[in-house]
Amino acid sequence: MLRKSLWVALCAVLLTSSMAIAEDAAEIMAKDEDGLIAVITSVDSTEFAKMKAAQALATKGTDRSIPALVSMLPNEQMNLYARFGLEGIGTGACKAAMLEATKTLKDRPLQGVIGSLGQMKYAVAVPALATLLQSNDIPTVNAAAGALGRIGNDGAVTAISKALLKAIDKDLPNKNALADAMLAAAETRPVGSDDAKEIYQSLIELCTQGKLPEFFAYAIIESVGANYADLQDEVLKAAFVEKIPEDVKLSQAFFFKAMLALSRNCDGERWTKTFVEQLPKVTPEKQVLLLEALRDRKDVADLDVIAYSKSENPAVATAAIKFLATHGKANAVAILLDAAVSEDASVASFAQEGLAKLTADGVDAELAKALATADGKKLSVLLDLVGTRGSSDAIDTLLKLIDHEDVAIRIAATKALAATCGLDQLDMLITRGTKPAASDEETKVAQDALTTAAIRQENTTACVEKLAAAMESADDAVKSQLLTVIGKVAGPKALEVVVAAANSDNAMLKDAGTRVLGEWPSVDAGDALLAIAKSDHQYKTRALRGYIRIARQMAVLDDARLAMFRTAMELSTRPEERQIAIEILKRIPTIDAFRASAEYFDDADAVVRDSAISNVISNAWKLGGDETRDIVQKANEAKAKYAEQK
Amino acid sequence: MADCRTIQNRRRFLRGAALASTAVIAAPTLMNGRTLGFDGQVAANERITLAGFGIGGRGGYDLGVFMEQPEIQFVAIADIRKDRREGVRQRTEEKYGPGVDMYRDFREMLPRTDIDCLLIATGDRWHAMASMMAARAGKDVYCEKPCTMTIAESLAMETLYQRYGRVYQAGTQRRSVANFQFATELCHSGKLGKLKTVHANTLHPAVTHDWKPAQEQPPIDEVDWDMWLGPCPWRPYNKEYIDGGWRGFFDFHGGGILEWGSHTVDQCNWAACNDSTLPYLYEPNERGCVATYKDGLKLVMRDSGWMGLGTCSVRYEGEDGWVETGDSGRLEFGSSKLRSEQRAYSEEGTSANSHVRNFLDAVKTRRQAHSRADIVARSHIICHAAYIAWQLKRPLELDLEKYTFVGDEEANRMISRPIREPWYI
Repeated sequence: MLRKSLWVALCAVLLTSSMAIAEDAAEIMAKDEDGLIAVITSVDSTEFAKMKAAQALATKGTDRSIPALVSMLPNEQMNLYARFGLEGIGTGACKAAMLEATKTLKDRPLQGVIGSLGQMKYAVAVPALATLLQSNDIPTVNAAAGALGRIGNDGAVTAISKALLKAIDKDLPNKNALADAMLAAAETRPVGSDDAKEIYQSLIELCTQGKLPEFFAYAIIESVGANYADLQDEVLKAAFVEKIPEDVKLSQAFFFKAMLALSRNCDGERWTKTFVEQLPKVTPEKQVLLLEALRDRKDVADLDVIAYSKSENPAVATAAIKFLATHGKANAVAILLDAAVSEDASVASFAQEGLAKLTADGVDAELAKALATADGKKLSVLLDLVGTRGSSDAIDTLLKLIDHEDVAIRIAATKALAATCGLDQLDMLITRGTKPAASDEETKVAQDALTTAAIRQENTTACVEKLAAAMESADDAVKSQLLTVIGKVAGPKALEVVVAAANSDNAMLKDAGTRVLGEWPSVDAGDALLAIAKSDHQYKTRALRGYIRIARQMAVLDDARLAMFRTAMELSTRPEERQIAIEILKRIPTIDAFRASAEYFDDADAVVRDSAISNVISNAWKLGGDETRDIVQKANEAKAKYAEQK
Repeated sequence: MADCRTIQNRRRFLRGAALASTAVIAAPTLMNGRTLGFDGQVAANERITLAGFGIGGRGGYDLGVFMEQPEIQFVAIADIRKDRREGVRQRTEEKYGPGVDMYRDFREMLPRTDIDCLLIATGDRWHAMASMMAARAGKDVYCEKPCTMTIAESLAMETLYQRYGRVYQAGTQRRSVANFQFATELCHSGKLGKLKTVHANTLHPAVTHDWKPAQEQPPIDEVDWDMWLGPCPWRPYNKEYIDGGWRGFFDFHGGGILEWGSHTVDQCNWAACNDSTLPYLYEPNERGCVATYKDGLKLVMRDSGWMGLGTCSVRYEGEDGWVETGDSGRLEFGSSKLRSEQRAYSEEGTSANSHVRNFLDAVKTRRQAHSRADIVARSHIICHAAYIAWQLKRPLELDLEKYTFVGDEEANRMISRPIREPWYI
């Protein structure tokens, strides 16, 4: 992954290198068609110029450019550039000219043109390409096969088929490429058509005789199976028969695997029904695979595999548990809970993840019911699950468990309650979260639970009102804590409460309120922070820093961000704030921001100066125009000047 | 996690509207005899043999992640650079013992039947071509991004992976990183309400057609320059290219929208449940592009105005709220209710740990990986279309059936690029 800083550096290098070369590609490519043809045909043009001109003709060329471009084809280095132009033009005359060129071209230039003829699907070229299939040069044959496959008409298929049989007969290394071309040709036909089916059948025959690799046979079954019901029947039949006919070289194992593969592309009850019928009849090893395949199907909601989850074969039981973890209903909860505390970490993890996500009716109620009587490891797992699911079904039990004698259970229950409770339980959590508990750990858990519960509430206004009401009778430390929670809830009501605190006469509230405002999670606090920063408030510097933070980090339109920068610089009286405020400009890649940066190229503060200079240099690639160039030049001059001074 | 588009049948997507209503289950599959034994279940520790192609900076990181997986056995490295081949061999043999083979020409490595998977981490120019060649050779592929150079290449790669049913995982690892997954889950679960706008952090699109100055070409065994160029236009050798300085050059690079958009546009498409479709209208601006889906959803590709949550940020805005996140793992929300649902996320957006694990699980089970070829094709086509619109400086309408621009011949000429011989797709 390319990091942005590296990208900026690379672009700077590109600017440098483009200046270093003698000719400018952009200048050449900007010419009109006549100009580009002139570049190609001129004896004075460099190869670079000709290549770039040909590349530009990809979008600008017409039939008039064909002779110039064709003249470049025999040159191995220029061939592709010429084909940029020719493929772009793509007219009948262009295709004909390229076909004509195949008569005289050799080796790689020939292969390139063959590739282009295939890309342009030029059916007239089929006889010539068929002849080229007879070549002894493997790359040329492969190129011709690829082109014929893309064209895909009857003539193409006949030619490829003949070459394929020859390649198989002589065991040539390109038989797979030819078979691939056959598949490509089949894909040019309408799906389900007899035309396509014929091609597939011929390939299937070769595969069953073992004349093509096994992976190729899978490819064909996957390509064809989903669209040809009779093939599906054949594969299904072969997968479950006792013995495959002797003339078929592929094993029953192959067909079984292919059937499972195919099943994932085929909908309908037929597949599910077949699997379910076969499930009790096959070996445990196959049961595992069938259960895996069934798990991927969407029409299995009513399938009962609970019996398999109790199988003596652990692999079968695991596969069934995985199925239940994906599709289980309320009656699977108990089984999955047992699995969730299994010694087998992989099974336990799967069951826990499944229980956390199951959507069937009654699952939450079953979990709540289990929670009421659970103990030990199962209780821990259940507490985690009800918290993760966020269901309110278990609240009554959780309210009891938060006072459990086991500290670990108390903590887990408190966390779960925080993740599930509504406004009704908030007062209780405020009380617990604002007083010391039995240990520091539990105190921290109670405080976090209050925050978690508060920020979860949908009615943020009501939530803030409850928290604000609790502040009224609280001591200063608790008020500060509650203000922090209110800041995390955020929203208009929260902002109102926090701004009031920041502007109150109470020193502690002032401190807490301005701190919370400075960390506000949205731009909404900007005005309040600015107002404090402009006043003679005790914490005006803190407010100014909060204001700069918003300008630097949050989503603000470029113009507004620039205005915030100017305001911040005006209000900054200390170097510390000026040095972070100047960084705002790095987020604004506009000419206005460049102009603003230029005002600081000679700032007395080296940090501010360097930041302004670097902002322009690093963002230069994003802007064009003469003024940008001028400002970049000034930045570079300033950089050099101060580097010398250092 | 939920993926509302996995119910789309992968294989039928390109087969036209007539089959569009037959969507079933996603997980496409092939059963690999080496990794999924007929006579037994998929074994957790069953060996998966891996080879590498073009392992440099990011590839070296990916390789390290693969090597941490217990079932991996690294067996071969193909690289056009001798120093890199030898470096990878030394590194992997320290773990696996002697026997890691080296290839200058990766075509010689592909026919090996003892290689299950290929890690492709070359420059962008090779990604699609090598991925397609690997599929044709029956390999599963983990390929770094961006995965394609053009719209045509995206479609070709999708077709190839449909044809062979191999497992493909693009290195768009944020699909497997928890904070990005959570942001997407908020969209899928409807907690943001109907989505109105999704925002993808992209880079400035510009690239250059220039060349670096020519330098003397090293011996072919040291650096195979012709192989380095691969399917791209010839140009004289310069060492900076092979040291990573190829980015920003049109012939080797798809531009700044694709550079990060292959991650972030992909995230947006996923969040909006649009893995099997894409916007039809592309309206460029000075530094990016705004695309519009048929249902009115806007996709904003922009390089500024982010909240500072890290590189490759995304932002999803719905009628009931918004969420923004980035590589730092932190999230910001439009409401505290949304914020309350998040958990602590320790994995950074650049980490490939979960993504590699997802790939290997897919290799074993033959389910498809998170960043499969058809999904990647959609998100890359969006980036390519946006870049074409940006280059032409005019709005473009994309025909979502034909993948051509409506009434714009010049734009249509930019859908594909010719391929240097002897390579073909």
